[in-house]
Amino acid sequence: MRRRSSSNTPLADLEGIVTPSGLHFERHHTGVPAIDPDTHRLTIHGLVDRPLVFMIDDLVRMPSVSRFHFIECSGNSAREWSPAGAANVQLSHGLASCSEWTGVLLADLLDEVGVKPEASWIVAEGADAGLMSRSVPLERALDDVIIAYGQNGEAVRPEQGYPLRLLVPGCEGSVSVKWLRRLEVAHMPSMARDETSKYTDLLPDGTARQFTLVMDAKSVITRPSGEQKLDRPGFREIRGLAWSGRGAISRVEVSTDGGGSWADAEIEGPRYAKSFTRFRSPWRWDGGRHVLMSRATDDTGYVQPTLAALLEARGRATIYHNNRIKAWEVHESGEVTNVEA
Amino acid sequence: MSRRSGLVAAALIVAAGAAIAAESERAGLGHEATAEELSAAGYTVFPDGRGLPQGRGTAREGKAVYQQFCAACHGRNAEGDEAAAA
Ligand code: HEC
Repeated sequence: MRRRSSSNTPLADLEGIVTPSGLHFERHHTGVPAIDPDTHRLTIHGLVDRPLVFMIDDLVRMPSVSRFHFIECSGNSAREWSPAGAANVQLSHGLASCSEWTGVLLADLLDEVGVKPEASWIVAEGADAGLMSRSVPLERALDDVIIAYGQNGEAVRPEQGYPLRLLVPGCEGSVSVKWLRRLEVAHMPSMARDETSKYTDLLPDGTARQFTLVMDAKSVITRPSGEQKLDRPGFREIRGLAWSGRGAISRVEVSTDGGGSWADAEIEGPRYAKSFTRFRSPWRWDGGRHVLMSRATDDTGYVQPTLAALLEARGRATIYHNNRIKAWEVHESGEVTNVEA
Repeated sequence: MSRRSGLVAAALIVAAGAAIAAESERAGLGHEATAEELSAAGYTVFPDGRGLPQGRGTAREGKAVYQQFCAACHGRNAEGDEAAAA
């Protein structure tokens, strides 16, 4: 069966913070493999005291965790480098989704194999046709990384890495290697194709930033948003999603006058770290023209930037990691369109 | 953030009876990789050359290998010109 190599989550049509598994965005580099879970092996080797092989059954028997985390492709919002950006939320922000992931902490598995003192990175490899692989700093691997076999109460979907995926909370999605088959504990990153040729950020001076793993704080208004239509003036709630790869969302501000003035939105708890967070703000549409914007702050104090600030810091050549403030224009006709922020 | 301390605590609590992680701090799950499993698992070649398999070769010899196994997709000079892979 021929599949598209990517598809976006229709965020504007969803409520709450959980993305139904079948609507999770997809991005695969070399197809979706069909894997027999009974014979699938996860081998952990390299700079370890004892290389071990884990079958799915072994992993399910280990102490487990269930946590809410978003996954966002670093190419999400790539169209937002142009002033008005994409026409709707699915196109502008749909390479991000949030699930309750269940699995084993990688730290626990590393305890099982015994990591040698000279180790500083982990190379993760998938079982897809291209053996997609990415390197993760050991410090991060020991923090909150999950080897996930469950997603939203069921098995991880094939498109999401069945039977096993790496889940590196808060980091660009491609690091959360799907169909995980091998972890090599190493003294340096492997400098795989997807951390050199791709997923690096070219700067104006010709150098490139590598291993820009963390997804910075971001938010978007999902209602009202591009391609929706307000049928009549009166009360309606402005709703949206905010998330940060560095921690929890501490504040979201909303503007209905194109950034002239801002007011705090209500944030719905619990505020999980590195997870989607819902914000809402009561609004009475007077039938006039309004430009709606949202701006997130995370608990490290980082504030979501404007496009101008991003361009100032990085130049015009970067593709990835665009977390600019997004604007929607509500016209007198009730139509909502993308507009320069 | 390891669960090891949790396992140790559990072991102490039930020290009198059950064998939960009593002899070892590890859960002891998974099995030691056999030589066949390790070779089937594959390996990483690092930028400093670590991980390279035994052997030697020259660019001239490599060119012949490239023409035979790679050129069909990557083009005659690996420059992405007439490449099917690009
Ligand atoms: C059947 C077609 C095919 C053949 C034969 C082939 N490749 Fe590739 N190669 C590809 C494709 C397609 C990609 C891009 C994969 C991706 O998008 O992840 C690729 C990617 C690569 C890359 C990464 C390039 C980058 O962008 O960083 C290297 C290096 C490479 N191939 C080397 C080789 C070598 C060496 C051989 C011969 C031993 C070879 N390939 C044979 C199709 C092929």
